[in-house]
Amino acid sequence: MIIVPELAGLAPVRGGWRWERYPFIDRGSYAIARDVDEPALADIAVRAASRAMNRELRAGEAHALRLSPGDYLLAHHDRVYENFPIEVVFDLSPRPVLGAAVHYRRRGNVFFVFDSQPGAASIVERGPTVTCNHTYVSKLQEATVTRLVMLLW
Amino acid sequence: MWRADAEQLAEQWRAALPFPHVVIDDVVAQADLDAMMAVLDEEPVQPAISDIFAFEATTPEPTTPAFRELRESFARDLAPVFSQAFGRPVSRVDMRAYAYRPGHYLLPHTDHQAGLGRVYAYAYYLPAQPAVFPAGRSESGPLLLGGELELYRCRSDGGELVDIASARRIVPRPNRLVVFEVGDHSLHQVREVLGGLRISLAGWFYP
Repeated sequence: MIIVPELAGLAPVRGGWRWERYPFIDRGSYAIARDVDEPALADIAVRAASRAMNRELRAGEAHALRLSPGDYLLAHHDRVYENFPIEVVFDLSPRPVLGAAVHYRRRGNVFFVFDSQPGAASIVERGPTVTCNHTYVSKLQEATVTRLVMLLW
Repeated sequence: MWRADAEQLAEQWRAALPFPHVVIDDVVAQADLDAMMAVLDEEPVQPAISDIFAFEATTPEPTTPAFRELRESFARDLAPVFSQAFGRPVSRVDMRAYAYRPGHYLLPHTDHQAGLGRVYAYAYYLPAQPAVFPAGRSESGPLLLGGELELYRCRSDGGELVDIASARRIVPRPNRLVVFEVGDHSLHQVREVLGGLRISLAGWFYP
C-alpha cells in the first residue's frame, strides 16, 4: 500500500455526479454518487496501481463519497472481498481537513492510514481480512471531504 | 447515596419513547457529589479511539478502592430499584468514567451484543468544566456545548435497522442519570462535544 501525492492532478475530473444521502446512520453518514464515470482518472489509477503492485490490472467499479461535518463511514459497513482487488482512493477535497482519514484495518487493527491530502491517492490491496473506514469529520471545522473510490481487478 | 423511586420510574419507563428509558435528576446529594468528584480525580483516564468513538476513559476495572466502592454502591442502591421498576432482574454493574473534550463523540450504536448480558445501559453526568468561548461571545451560556445523548426510533428489516429517525436529545445536565433498555433497537449516540468538558460515569447492569 502506498500514497501517491498529486496523482489526481494528472487528469481532469469530469464531475457532474448525482449525490444521494445514505440513510442508515448505524453504518455511515455520508453522501454517495454511484454513477461515476471518470475514464481519465481510471487510466491513471490503473497505470499507477499496476506499477506499484506489479500486477496487470483493469478498471472495475467506482463511486464517490462526500463527507460533511458530522459524517463518517464505519468499518462494519465496508464490503469484504474474497479475492484481492486493488482499491485506489483519490482525495478530491478542496483543502486539507484535519482528522479526516481513511483507515485500513486487518482483523480490526489499523495497518494503513490515508490522511487528508487533496490531490493524492492511496493504493491498497483489499482481501478477506481487510476492512476500511472513513473517520468522523468534526463539526468544529467547516470542511467537506470528497473521495473517489475505484476498484481495480 | 443513590436515590430513585421505583414507582415513579416504572411509570416513566413504560411511557418513554423511542424505547424504554428514564431520566432521573438530582440522583445524589450535593455532599456526595463533591466526594465523588474527589474519587474521580484519583482515577487515571486514557485516550480511546476507534472508528465509532473518540474520548478518554478509565480502565474497565477501577484502579482505586474508592472508585470500586463507588461502583458497588451504585449497584447496591439502584439494582434492586431498577429490577422492580423495569421488570428484568439485575444485580451487577460495571462502571467507567469518561471525559469528552471538544471534538470527542460516540457514533450511533445499540450497545446490544449477543452473549454479553447487558440488560440496562446507564450514563450519569457530572459537573462540566466550562467551555472556552470564541472571542466576543457571551460567557453566560451553557458550560458545555454539544454532548447530548440522542435516542433514535428505528425498526428492523432482515436483521438490519431501517427507518432511522432522531427521537429525543437528552442534555447531560450535572447530577442526572439516564437509564435505558439494551436491545436490538436501542440506537443512540453521544453528539460531538463542541466546547467544555463532559464528564460521566457509564456502563451496564447485568443479571
